[in-house]
Amino acid sequence: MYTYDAHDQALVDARAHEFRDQVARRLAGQISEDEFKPLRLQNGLYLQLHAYMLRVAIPYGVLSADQLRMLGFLADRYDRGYGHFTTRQNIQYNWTQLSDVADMLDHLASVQMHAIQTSGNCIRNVTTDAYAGVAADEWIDPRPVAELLRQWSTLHPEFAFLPRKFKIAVTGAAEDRAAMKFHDIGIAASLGENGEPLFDIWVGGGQGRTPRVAVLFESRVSLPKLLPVLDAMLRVYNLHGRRDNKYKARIKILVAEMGLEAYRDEVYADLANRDGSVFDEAPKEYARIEAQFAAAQQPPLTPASVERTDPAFAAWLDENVIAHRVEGYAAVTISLKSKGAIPGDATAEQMKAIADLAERHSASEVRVTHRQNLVLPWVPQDELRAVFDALVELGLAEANIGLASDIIACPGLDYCALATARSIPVAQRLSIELREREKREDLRGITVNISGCINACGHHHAATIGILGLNKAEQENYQVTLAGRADEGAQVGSILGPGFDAESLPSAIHRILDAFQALRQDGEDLASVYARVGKDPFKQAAYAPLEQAA
Amino acid sequence: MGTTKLSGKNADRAHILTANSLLTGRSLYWTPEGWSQSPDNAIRAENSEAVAELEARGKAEELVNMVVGAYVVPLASRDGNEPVAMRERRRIAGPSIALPGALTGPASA
Repeated sequence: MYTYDAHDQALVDARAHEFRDQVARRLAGQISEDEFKPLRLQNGLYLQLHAYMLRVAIPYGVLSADQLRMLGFLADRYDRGYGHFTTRQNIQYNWTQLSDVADMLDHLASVQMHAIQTSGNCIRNVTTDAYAGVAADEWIDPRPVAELLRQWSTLHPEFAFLPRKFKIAVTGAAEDRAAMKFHDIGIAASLGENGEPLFDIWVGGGQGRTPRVAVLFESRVSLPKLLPVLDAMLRVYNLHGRRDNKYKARIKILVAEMGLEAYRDEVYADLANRDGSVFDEAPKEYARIEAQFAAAQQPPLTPASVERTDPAFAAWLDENVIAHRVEGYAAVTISLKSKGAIPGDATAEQMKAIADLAERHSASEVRVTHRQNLVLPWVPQDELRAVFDALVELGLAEANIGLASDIIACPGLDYCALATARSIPVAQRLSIELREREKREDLRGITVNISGCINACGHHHAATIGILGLNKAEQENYQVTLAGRADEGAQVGSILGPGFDAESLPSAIHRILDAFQALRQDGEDLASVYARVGKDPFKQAAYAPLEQAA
Repeated sequence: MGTTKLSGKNADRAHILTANSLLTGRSLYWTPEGWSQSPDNAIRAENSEAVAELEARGKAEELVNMVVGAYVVPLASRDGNEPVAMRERRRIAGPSIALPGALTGPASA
């Protein structure tokens, strides 16, 4: 893992100290809410429907056991005993008090964490593959470049007030597990002929009300050129991005309106007119970071044979454990999606217990996935049974990773001030029903993602079955999209038709799955069936009872 | 929030004043006794002059730093305190789900 140097630590310590002073002045009436609001947002503090919500950054989803233990402590001490892991690999506390936040930031700084840039129109937490450094199909570990980007983007004075928020993801494997093409900038790292890192840069992806898959901006960019190019890309966006209409302010709109070629020309014109010497040290810093991650890699172990006679354990091995790039290890995904659970929520006790597990069985390391689960990335194969038994005790041994019941859901109208409908109760009901159904049928590869508003924090556009909660005449109404994909073949899901009310939605989802099973050939996934047969058969299935009743 | 224009469907509706606590962020409602977490005893404005008075009260309360984001909420009927808007109904009711953690933190008080 990356360990803060004196500069990193001084920065987060100073930021926590600064925010303490800002809160004190606000509570004393020395600054107004209009003056305070941008300050609290820059420290990840939102005012939601019922309380303040603090969003804590988990850079590229990597946590030490001590850091996860601290997150559990904060949940216990300052919140209501739980936290919510998000699709940006962060964690949110839903019930914080303003007077406690500075103390929370001090505690976070003590374990090299912070809440900087988890809100506002700036570069947000850089995300990556939750299996970075351990996935068998990885070409290059994406974490060093993600950390380099964190350092470049943190408090970057030119990019503190962009036209809109800006999201970057990095991946370094054959399979894109970071939804890279649904980001403002996506970076696909690979190795050159001489082992040097190269970067394909994608631009203009995103979800929200105008979903777009990113387009290739430049391929095989070398390490020395990476930050200068990214800096110029942001600068051109900062200059031309629309500030008159927040719904058209993301870079995806700029690239679409300018055209990729014109945007690229302007970026390179900017680059040519800049003194790039400020980035001369970047490759050296990358090497320093890379060495830290390399040092944390574990030595190979003798492969162990794992006894599979217990059906529950065997099912968990099949669904939640993936092959590792280092001999003798496995990567374990802990499902936060047991039947009826709130996707991404973990109690303080669970966080502390998982931190203990990571210490005993996973080189003291944990990851957060963008599908709102946790990963133990370094489990020796002969310790898998002990980890499973411990997770059973914690109620966290659901064997459903990558199955339909592994649902993404945003907080929705139960918490969020922007939401137009609830997400969590829909996810809870579907998780119960789909968990039963997938015991009878193969529902691997089907993703169900639920967003409570058009902002799409629940990634509904990128799901096999996407659900968008809307407000229709002050009643919840749920629009369904089909055949979206978040992987390397990213595509935006297609709207099926009119929305469903909350009561009729689950049965419509089941009829869509019935149609999928009836139409499926040779193990096709739903997106492939949809590509072959089109929307109509699914539409007929979903709406048939409603039309009969009409 | 700016001054509410009572036009269309809201012209005939009663309104109550809401805001969030500066310290806790909790939803609050303006009553004869001051701010309350319950809308049960909220002061109802039955005409445009009364609504304007409530809004002025909200601005004044913001200035003394007790609350943030004060605004008036139209009610669904003349004889109840249920807001028209689903969002406002949720603010009153709280999360519709069983919360996962033990209620040990200070915010649960």
